[in-house]
Amino acid sequence: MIRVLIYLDENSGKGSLELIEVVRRMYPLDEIELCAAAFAKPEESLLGYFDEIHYFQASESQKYQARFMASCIEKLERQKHFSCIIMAAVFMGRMTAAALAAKLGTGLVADVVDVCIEGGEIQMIRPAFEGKLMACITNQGLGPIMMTVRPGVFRYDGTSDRSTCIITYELADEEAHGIREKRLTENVRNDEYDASAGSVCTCRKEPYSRELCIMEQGAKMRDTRGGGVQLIACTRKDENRDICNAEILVSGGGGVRNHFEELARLAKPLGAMVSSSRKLVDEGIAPRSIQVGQSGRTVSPKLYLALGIYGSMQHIEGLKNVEHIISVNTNRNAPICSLSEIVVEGDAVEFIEKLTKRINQNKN
Amino acid sequence: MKIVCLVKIIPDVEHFTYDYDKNILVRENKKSVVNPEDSCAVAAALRMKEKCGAEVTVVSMGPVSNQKYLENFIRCGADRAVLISDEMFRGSDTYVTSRILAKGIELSGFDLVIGGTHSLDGDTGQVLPQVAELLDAEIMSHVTEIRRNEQADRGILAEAEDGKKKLTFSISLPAVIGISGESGYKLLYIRYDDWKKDMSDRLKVLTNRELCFGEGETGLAGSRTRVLRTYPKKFSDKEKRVVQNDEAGIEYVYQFLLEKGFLNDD
Amino acid sequence: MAKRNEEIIRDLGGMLEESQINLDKDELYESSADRYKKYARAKKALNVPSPLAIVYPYSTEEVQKILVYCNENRINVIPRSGKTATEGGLENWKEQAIVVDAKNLNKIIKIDTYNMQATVQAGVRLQDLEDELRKLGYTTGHSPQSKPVAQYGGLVATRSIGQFSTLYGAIEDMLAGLECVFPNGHIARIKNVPRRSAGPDIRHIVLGNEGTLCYITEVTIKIFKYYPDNNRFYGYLIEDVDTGIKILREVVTEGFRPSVARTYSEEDARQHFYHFYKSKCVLIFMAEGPEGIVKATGDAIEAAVRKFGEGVIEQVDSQLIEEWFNHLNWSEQDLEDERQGMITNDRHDGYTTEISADWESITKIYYRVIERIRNEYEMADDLTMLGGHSSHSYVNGTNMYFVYNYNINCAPEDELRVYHHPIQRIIVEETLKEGGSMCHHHGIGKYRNEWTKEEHGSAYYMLESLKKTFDPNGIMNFGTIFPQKEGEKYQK
Repeated sequence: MIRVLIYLDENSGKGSLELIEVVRRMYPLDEIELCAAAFAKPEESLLGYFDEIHYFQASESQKYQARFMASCIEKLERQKHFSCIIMAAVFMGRMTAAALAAKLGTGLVADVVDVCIEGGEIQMIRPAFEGKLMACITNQGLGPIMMTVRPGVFRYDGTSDRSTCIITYELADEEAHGIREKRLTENVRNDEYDASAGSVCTCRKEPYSRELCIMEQGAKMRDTRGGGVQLIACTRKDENRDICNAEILVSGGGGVRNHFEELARLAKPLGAMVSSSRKLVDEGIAPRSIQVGQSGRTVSPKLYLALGIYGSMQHIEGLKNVEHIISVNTNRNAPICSLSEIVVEGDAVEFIEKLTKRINQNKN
Repeated sequence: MKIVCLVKIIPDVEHFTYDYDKNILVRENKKSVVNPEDSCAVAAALRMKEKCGAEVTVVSMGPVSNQKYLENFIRCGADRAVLISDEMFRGSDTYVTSRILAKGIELSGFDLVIGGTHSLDGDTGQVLPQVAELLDAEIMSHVTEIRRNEQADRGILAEAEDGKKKLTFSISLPAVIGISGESGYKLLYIRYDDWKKDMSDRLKVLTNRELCFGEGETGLAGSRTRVLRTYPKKFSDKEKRVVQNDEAGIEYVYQFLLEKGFLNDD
Repeated sequence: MAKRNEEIIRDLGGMLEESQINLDKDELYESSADRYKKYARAKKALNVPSPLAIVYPYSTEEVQKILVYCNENRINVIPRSGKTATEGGLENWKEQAIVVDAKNLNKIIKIDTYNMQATVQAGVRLQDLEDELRKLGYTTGHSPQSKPVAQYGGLVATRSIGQFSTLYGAIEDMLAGLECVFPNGHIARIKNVPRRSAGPDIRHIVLGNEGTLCYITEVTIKIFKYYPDNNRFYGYLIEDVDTGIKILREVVTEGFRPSVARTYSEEDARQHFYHFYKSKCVLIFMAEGPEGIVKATGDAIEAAVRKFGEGVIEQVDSQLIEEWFNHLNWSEQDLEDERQGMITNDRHDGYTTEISADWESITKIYYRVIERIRNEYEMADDLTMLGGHSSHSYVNGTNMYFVYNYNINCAPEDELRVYHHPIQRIIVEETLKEGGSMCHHHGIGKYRNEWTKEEHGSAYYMLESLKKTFDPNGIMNFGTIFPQKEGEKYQK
C-alpha cells in the first residue's frame, strides 16, 4: 500500500490541501492511503480529505521546534513507511522538512512548483537562481521521497469523501522532549465532529476498527535536543508595511498629484499597498518611504499599477522582476507604457473610480 | 563563545542575462559573489563579538579559488576562516553538503552557528536545519536580530519573522541560526589600503584528508537527490494591449485582474 | 603671522552684516566639497577641511574688501555661484578658507532687446534670466542640464556649455563683457562690444578661470530671438557610435547648425530612451530658429541620414524626442533626491568625464576607452553602465561624454580612488594620446590638475604666468586647475 504524508501547516489552514494536488499528480488517489500530520488542532474543514490525521498536541513553543516536530514525524514514518512526505515551503515547514530529511537520510527537494512522472520515476521541478533557471530533480535516497512545495502554485479541486480518522498524541512536557502517545480514539461520524471533543476520531462510512500502531508509551526518544527553542513573545509586525514586500502596488505619479488619497480606494479591494513616483515625494504629497525608483525603493510586486506615472529610467530602475504592469496615462507615449501589459489611455483618477466601482459591484 | 559563520560563494545571479534567441541563460564569465544573507550573518557574528566577546570562524565550502573571499572576512574582523575544498565534494546536494559542513564545524568547535537563511542560487533553505540536526543543535531561521540572553547561562535571544508575525525566542546553545536579509546587519567595508593585506596565515583549507569521508559518501554519488536537467524559465514576450478609459477598457482590466487571481476576495 | 580662525571670523564681522556670514557647521561641511565627492559627502565621509565661513557679499565693493583681506592674510578664497561644479572646483584643500557665494548678487541689471544683450550680476540664475527673456520672446540660448540651478558667475568661470550649443554656441560665444575683482582689489570692467581687435581678447582670461584668478561680479551676454513654434525633432536608431558621429559630421560640415545634434551609445541610450531604443544606438537632432532655416536644417539632416543609411535602422517618432527634452533638466530636488538615493542604495549614478577631439580621433578614443575599461579595470564588475554620447559638435570635431554608473562596494572614503579615478585616468590618457582635450565643458577642477601641464604642453607657460601675475599669493581657489604638491594627499 502506498502511503503519503502531508504536513498540515498551522498557518496555512486549508492552503495545505493544495498539497493533495501534488499527490494526485504522482499517484492514483483512490489507491493510496493519504495521511496528514498536524501540530495544531486540525480544522473541521480538513475532514474527508485524509484517511488519517495524526495530531500531535504541541505546545506553543513546540510548534517552533523544527527538530522536535521532525522527530514526531520520524516516529510516524518508522511505523508507516510513507512513499512520500510533502510539506509546504513555509517558515516552519522548510525547517522541519530539512531536519526530518537529515534524520531519515533521504533527499529533499525544496520549493517544488511542478511534479511529473517519466519512465516511472517521479521528477520534481523547482526554480533556482531567483527563478531564472528551472531544475528537474529526482530522489536517490533510500527513504521516502521528500519535498517542500511552494505555496499558492497548486490547487486541489478533488473530492473529500475519505473517512478521516484523527489520532491524537498527547506530548510529554517540554523538558522531557518525549512523545507520549495516548490513544484517545474512538469512532465518531464525520458530520458529528465536535470541535470541543477534540480527542475523538471520526469515520463516516463504516466503523473504523483498524489497529493502530502504538508508539511505545513513554519511550525515551533518542537523546536529542530540539526542545531548547522557547517562544517568549509573538507580536504582529508593524503595520507600517514595506512596499518592497507588497504583492500588488498601486502607484501614483504626477497624473494623480491632486488626488493621491484616491489610490487607497483602489488599493483596498486589491489588498494592495500604495506607492509613489519621485515627483509626488518631491512635492510633499507622498512620504519618501513609499517611493519607487533608483533613489527610493526597489520593489518586486506581482502587479504594478502605474497611475499617471511617466516612467523615467530612474523610476524603472526600482522595478525588479515585476510580473505584470498596467499603466494608466493620458499620454500613451509615456515611457512606462512601453513596459506595460495593459495601457489604459486616460485620466488615472477617473480610472480609479471606475475600476473600484467595477470591483465592488461584483462583490455585492 | 565560539561562533561559526557559514558562508557560500555563489555565481552573481544579478548579472545573468537571458539569450532569447537560443533560449539559454548566459552564465559565462560572470564573477562570484558572497551570498548576501551570509554577509549579514557574518556581520551579526561580528556584532556579537563586539558586544560580548566571541571567537568568529568563517566556514565555507567551495573551490580553492574562493580563498580570496574568505580572506576578506578576516580583514573585516573575523578571527579565522576555514575553506572546505576537495574534488570529492564537488556536486554534493544539500544532504551531503550539510554532512560535510557539520563535520568541518565540529572540527572547529562551536557554540553557535550563524548563516544566511537563504542563498540566492539554490535557495533551498535546507542546509542550516540539516546541519543543526547533524550537530544536534537547536535551529531557528528567518532571524532578524540576535543577542546574548543575559538571563540564561548559555543561551541567546532571537527575533524571527514569519510573515506578519514577529516572534521572540529564547534559544539554548548549541544552536544554528539562519539570519534573514531583512535583518539589516551589514558588514563594514574594508578600507582600500587593507584590500591586499595578506591574511593567508589565518585561513585554513580542509580537505577530505581531515574530514575522512568514505568513497561514494560525498559528491554526486553520495547525494540523495539528483538534478536531471536544468533549463531556463521561458519568458514570453507579453503582448501589449492599449485600451480606453471607458466601460470596455475597465472591463478588460477587471477581467485581467480576475484571471490572474488578483481579486481573490478572502 | 597667520591669523587665528576666531580672528578671521571677527574681522569678517567688521566687513559684513551678520546675515552675510554663515557659520553653520552642517553648511560648512556641505561647502567643503562639490558634486565630485557627492557620495562621500552624503555619507559624511569627507576627508577635506571645512571652510571657516561662507560669506554673501551684496556688492562688488564688498567682494573687493573680502578679497583684499584674504590676500593680505593668505586665506584661501573659494568663489562660488550656483554650486553645480562637478570636478572638485569648489572643494576646499586649505585649513583656512572662505567661500564667497554670489547668491546676493542676484539682480538682472538690464535686458536690452534692441542691442540684443542682457546684463546680470554673477548670482543671477540662468533659469530666472531665461524666464524673463521668454516673456519678451527671447532666449539666452544657453541650456546646460544644470539650468534651473546654475548661476551666471559660475557659468562663465567654468566655460559652461548648453544643450543647444551647436546653434547658439557655448558661454564664450555668448559673453559680451564682464566685471571682475582681482585678489589685490583691482576691479576690471571689460566693455560690451560686438567685436574688436584691440589686443588679445582679455575676456578669455576670465572665462574658465574657475575662480583661480579673479572673482566675477557681473556678466553681459548676448540674447537671441526665440521661435519655439518652429522647433523640429528628429530621432533615429543606428547601428553604432561610428555611424552617428559620421552623420553629425556630415550635417555640421555641410554648414548647418541644428541646435541639438547627439549620438548615444546603446548603453547610454538605454538610460534616456529605454522606451524606444531597442538596444541600439540613438541619434537625435533638433532644428530651431526662423522657419526657413529650420526647414533647410531639417532637409540637411534627412539627407545626411540617407547618405549613411546603411547604418541607420529606423526613424523614431519625433513626438518621443520632443517629450524627452521636456524631462531633461535637473532641479534642486533632483539633486537632493540623488543624495538620498546614494545614501540608501550605495550606488553612484551618472559619473561622467567629458573630452573633445577632432572628427578623426573621436571614435578611436571612444572605442579604445571602452575596451580598456572593460578589460583592464579591476572593478569593472561593479559597473552597472558604461557608455557615452557626443552632444556638442563643431566644424572641426566634437565632444564625447563618457558616462558610467557603478555599485559602490567600498568605504565611502575610498570610492573615488577605487572607481572614478582609474576610469577617468584611462579616458584622459587615451584622449591626450590622440591630441584631444581632457575637459570639454566641466573644467579641470581639482582632480584633473595632474594632467593640466600635459593638456597645455608648451602653452602651460602662459597659463602659469597668468596665475603668477593675478594671484601671486595663491589665495584663489587653491588646487583648482594648477597642480599643487600640498593637495596630493587629497587626490591619492
